[in-house]
Amino acid sequence: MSALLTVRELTMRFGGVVALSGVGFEVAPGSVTALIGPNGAGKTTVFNCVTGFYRASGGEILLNTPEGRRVDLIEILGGPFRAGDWWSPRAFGRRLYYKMFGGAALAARAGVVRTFQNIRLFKEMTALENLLVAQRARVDNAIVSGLCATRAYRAAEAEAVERAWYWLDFFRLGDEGNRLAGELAYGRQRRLEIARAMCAAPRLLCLDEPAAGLNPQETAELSDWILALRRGHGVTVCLIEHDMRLVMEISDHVVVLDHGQVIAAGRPQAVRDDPVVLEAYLGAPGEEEGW
Amino acid sequence: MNFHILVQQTVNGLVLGSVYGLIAVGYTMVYGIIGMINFAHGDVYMIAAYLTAIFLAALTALGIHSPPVVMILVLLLTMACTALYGWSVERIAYRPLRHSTRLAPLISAIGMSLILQNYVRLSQGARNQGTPTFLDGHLRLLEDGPDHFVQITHAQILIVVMAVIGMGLLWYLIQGTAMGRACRAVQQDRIMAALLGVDTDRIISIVFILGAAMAAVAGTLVTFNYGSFDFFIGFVTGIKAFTAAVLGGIGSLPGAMLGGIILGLAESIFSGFVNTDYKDVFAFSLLVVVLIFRPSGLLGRPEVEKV
Amino acid sequence: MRNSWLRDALVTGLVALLLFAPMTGVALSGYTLEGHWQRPLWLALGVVIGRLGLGWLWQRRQGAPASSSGRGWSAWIDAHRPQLIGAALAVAFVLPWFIGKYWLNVAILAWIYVLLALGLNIVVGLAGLLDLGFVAFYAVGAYGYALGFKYLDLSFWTALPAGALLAGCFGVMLGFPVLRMHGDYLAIVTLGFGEIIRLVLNNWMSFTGGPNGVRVPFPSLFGLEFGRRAGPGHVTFHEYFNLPYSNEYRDIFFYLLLLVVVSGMVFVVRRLRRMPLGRNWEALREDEIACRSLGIQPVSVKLSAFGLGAMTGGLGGVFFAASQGFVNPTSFTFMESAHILAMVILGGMGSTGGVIVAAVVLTVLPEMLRDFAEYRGLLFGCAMVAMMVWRPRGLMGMRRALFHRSGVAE
Repeated sequence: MSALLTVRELTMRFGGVVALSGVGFEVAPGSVTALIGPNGAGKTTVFNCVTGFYRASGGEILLNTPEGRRVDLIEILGGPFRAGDWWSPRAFGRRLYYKMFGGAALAARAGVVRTFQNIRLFKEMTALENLLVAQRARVDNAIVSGLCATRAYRAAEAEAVERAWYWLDFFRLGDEGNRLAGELAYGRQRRLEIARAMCAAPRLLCLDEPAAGLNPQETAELSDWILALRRGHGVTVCLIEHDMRLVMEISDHVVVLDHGQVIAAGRPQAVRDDPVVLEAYLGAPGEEEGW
Repeated sequence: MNFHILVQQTVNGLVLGSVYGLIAVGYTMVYGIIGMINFAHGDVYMIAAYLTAIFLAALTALGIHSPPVVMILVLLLTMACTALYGWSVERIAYRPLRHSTRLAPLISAIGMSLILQNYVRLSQGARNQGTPTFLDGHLRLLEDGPDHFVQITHAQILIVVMAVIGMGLLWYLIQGTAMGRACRAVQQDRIMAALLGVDTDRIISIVFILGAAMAAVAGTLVTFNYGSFDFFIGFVTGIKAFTAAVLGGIGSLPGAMLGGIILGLAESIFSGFVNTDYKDVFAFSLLVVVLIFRPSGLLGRPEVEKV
Repeated sequence: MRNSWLRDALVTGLVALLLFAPMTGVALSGYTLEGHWQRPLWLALGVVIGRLGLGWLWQRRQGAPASSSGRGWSAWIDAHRPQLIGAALAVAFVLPWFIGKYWLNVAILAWIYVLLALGLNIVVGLAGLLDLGFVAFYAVGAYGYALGFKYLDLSFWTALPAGALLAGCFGVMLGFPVLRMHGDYLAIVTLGFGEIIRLVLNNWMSFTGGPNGVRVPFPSLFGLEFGRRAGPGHVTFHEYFNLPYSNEYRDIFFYLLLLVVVSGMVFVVRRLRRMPLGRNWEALREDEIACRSLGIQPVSVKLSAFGLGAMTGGLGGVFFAASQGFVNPTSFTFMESAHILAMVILGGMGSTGGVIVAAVVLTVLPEMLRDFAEYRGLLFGCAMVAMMVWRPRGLMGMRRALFHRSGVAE
């Protein structure tokens, strides 16, 4: 079976600084893949490229959907016009469309949904409303049917509310549905963000340091949830994490980055014993205690 | 195309551009350091124009008539007093909002702009005010006939010279002193600078004071030159100076001056050769076009979005 | 403790004195000055007292827990919402028969402002886009009707949707390039755009009549005109119903029409807030990056808010033109934009009821207190700053929609 996500020769430059050079890895469907590495290794930059927030300077990021569609996650961000675009009206049209309407939103619509290191909730909206916003693709967005409250609209809306409650219950947030997201405790906000991502119907769920700031018990619950998501909901997970115990416990595949390059990749045990990885980590004091 | 008009409009444009540049500095420094558009800045400039007229009249009433003495005293008094206004605006309307919602400082700034306009209108009256011609005298260049000459008033020369001196001093303050280093540090990363012991609130106050003082220089010189103003001049001049700041690249000091001069020249040549009625439309359209096609301006660096 | 805030207050007073002395202590009169020495002293004294009062309030608030009296009041409103809305609507509908001609015109103006404030509330309060050139769309609507009548002989009933659509198109056209840029720039670009429209209206003499303005006819009711004598081929309202002529019918008719449109708008806005589109607006206001990560396209969502707001502005413009019988560019200055923005902010951004109350109060108050009109700009400015400092979420705050689990009693 082919990989869900293929990253090849990914390069990212900010001005003169090369943040990533030639990063490549694959994410198999239904797997949990962890991106690890010392601070400043470029993990979040990879994430931002994959989820469409940065336009990579070079390389390829392809998403192969189970239906056999192939989405180029760099093209949809709308790059500058190239010579070929002026010959082919089709290519020109695509480029123009992506320039006007492209961006991270299209990556999300293709099925790459993420969470953020510094939680980004809609703080002045209730937890449930947060989850309703995420179900953009499933509700009736037409203005007229909403204003007339047609039957189809009400059914879609009721179903969305139902689904939102399901995910709230899943992450044990059932009692907090009508509270403002910004008022929830930190750990709950983290969970709500993952619940919200799940409502956006992800194929590839990208979690940016989901365990940051959680206590050991919450981290243990989180690892159960992630495994349950994969098993019960057919989601492929890609995560950045510093908590090595969590990484070892849940991931099938680990990619180690250092200085913007992949220095090792493989099964968790193999990566853990790799001397190159150890050296990279020991070179960055304060990172080794999780081992 | 008439050569004399071209030269004359270029001269006028340079003068106008220096004024825009001096005001734009205030926008660009504030934007650089706290990332907000200080809508009230144009009105601070307007206040400076009124203060100039008031101090001028007061000194005349006190019997001080020597032009250089009057000029320097008026300039210094206006700068000091306007700087106090700039400081107060920040203290009252912006500092309490450091951690508020995204829209709050902008709305507060518009409120402050309304306050300043109406405060001046209520205390000084709504009618157009003026000052006596203070610096008369002019040079004529390229004169060949009764209507064919380029005229430069002494006040115009003074504006350009003072703008250069003012910008030079500001550049030295920012680049050459410990305080300037702290300013630049706060601009780069406010939290980090605070952690390293920089009193960020004080630095932000200083930036507002410097910006207001530069606007005061502009206000004083414009009043000396044109001698006519009302409580609403800050609005249009403010938008144009902001356009200049954006054109040059917001956050960049040389950019503000460059943007001011380009805008001044463009506007002046447009009104000389195309149409005077639409010169403001032209300037505002320029703002829209620059923001769409080159939001980072001429000398600014493109912003990298923080995710 | 006590000493330090006394000292604070004195320092503040000294600074205030320095600020006020040159500006209010003397007034320019030609090239000389006339003294008003007592003004800065009184102002500075006011500042000192205000500072002391604030310090006292602040200390008290820290001491005692938040009082619940405000909460009880808003809970009462919440509980009786349907009755209150019904009563307000009933009063609004019978009002024109009881107030004189003068106040009827004030009421018409108030409802026009309600319409405008509701439109701007969509843009600023819900979508979080600071639009400082809202008056441009108002002008497009008003001039759309006026010029449409002048050149195309458009009737009010055609102009109403046409003006709204035209303004909406302007909104989308302006919005498309502008909405992609960094949030704060939007404010200044819309400001510039508002000025461009006004300057063009003012300077394009041959088309718009410049500062002289354009005459606008009054709407007719199913072909019945409200003038004393009908134009050729038309019948007047009073002749048709065999009534003595009075131009009060005309104003009452206009008032009721406007009220119906405003009620419709209120209904639409309330619905929108609970619809996916309205939720997307609010989500965008809260966090644009998170929206993108969920597949919400910021540009199109912002455009819809901008376009709908502009349409409402255009609608208000058509009504304004018809009610005045005449439009000229002086009605569409930045002050007007600031005025509408103040209504939205004082009403508590996003809260429909609050915005309506604020729009009505801020239109009627200057008519009741002449002195107030003089100080209006100053008070609006102070209110905007004060609201942002103390109650950035509005006086009432926004009520959230609550959801129940189906099948679970709550």
